[in-house]
Amino acid sequence: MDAPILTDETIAHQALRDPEQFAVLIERYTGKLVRYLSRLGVSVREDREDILQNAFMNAYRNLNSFDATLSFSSWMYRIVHNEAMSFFRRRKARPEVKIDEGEERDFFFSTLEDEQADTSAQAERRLSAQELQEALNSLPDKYKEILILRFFEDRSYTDISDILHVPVGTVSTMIHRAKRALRKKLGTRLA
Amino acid sequence: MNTDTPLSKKTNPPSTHLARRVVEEIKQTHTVPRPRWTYLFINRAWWAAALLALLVAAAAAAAVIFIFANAGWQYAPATHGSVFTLLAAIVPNIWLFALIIFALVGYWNIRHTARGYRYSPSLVAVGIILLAVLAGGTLFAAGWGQEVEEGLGRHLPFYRPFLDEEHSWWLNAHKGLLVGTVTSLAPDFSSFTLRTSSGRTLTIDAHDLRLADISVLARGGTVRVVGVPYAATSTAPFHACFVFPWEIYGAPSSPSLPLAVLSSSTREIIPSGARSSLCKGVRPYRQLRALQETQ
Repeated sequence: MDAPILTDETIAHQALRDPEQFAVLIERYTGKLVRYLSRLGVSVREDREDILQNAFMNAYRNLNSFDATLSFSSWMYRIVHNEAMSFFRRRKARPEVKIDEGEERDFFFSTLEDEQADTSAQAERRLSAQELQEALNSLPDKYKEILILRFFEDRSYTDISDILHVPVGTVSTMIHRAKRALRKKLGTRLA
Repeated sequence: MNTDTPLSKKTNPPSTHLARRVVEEIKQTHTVPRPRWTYLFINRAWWAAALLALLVAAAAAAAVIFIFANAGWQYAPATHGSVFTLLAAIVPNIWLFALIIFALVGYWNIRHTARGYRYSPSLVAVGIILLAVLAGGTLFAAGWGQEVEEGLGRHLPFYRPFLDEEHSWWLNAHKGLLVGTVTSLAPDFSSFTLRTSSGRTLTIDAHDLRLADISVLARGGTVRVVGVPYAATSTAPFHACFVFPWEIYGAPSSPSLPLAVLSSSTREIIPSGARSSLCKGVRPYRQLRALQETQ
């Protein structure tokens, strides 16, 4: 008989009594969060591990602050996001966003989705990861972060609101502006 | 919600390097989750601080309403020349500033509560201002407007309570304005005595007053008088042309003892057509007459 599948929220609750349970959450999230950190620009493996270790320790210390009515995933992303921002501040440098080959096409279509755009014409065009990366890196940090969360991490508006601690309406506005800014940056390459 | 990895009831050993490192560190450093009550306490403290800021903003709103309600807009032509000049003179900058600052503090506190980030900033800001104005209006309606304006104002060294300021506009006989408490009224209504806030008692010539003015005097209490100053040698230093009640809105009512009872046989001393020409020089005569007729 299959073992029961427990939700993150249930495991988080159990981890309050048994730290070993917390390891299950770490295993569930390590892969996703490593990719997220890479996309944010933490390119050195050791740095990513240090950030994640700090983030998981923080998460464990503050496990009682987790509101079970919200998503554990968003809560964990927020902690990692904050750790990454602290890391960038300590380094006094904001590295460039890294995009893996193969990711760019989906991202490109979803980002540039626009009621006024000619999607059939867009489909004819291809952008390399390099071109997209350059365009993304030329955007302000707040736009980069929100585009990564929405289109690479595939987070919902509510999740992004919980991760960045901004109202959902602001998330919507920022995504709209970020897409417009990216379209503008890519405009010359698309022409 | 993530349900990717099945978990048996028996605890699985940490399989990844990072999970092992974190769990070992938790055990070695004896790290335990911070108690839940600390988060609840902090969250409630933010809400309490927001409520406190809202109360201060409400007090500021009550003071603003009190000032605007008692500005004496209807007398503006006599005291300041125009309503706009009066408005410029009474804009309660300090209270408006306090209202805005504490509304912002309230917003900032709410923003720091557990789910405060989810609320729209503009909605929270407008909501706090509206709540503060509503609560301030309630304080004012309950008769606490003066208490708040003067009570809080007393703690500010540079602040002068609004009614003191308004008294100073009216305690200006050279400009034809007086304010004070009616202490006596002659049986034939030819004069009355007025005690000013500075303690002076003045005998005022009331020959030109109409029934509307006399009924205000008969009720006793504090009144505003518009008239003409006499020469220093005169027995009565002031000739009254109009008398208006001094009503304070947003303060507990303090009824005064009537000085006389008017009956249907009460008559003005001078019939309408035979008034002295002194009052014709009072500006703005027509507006004051019209105001008198509406009272």
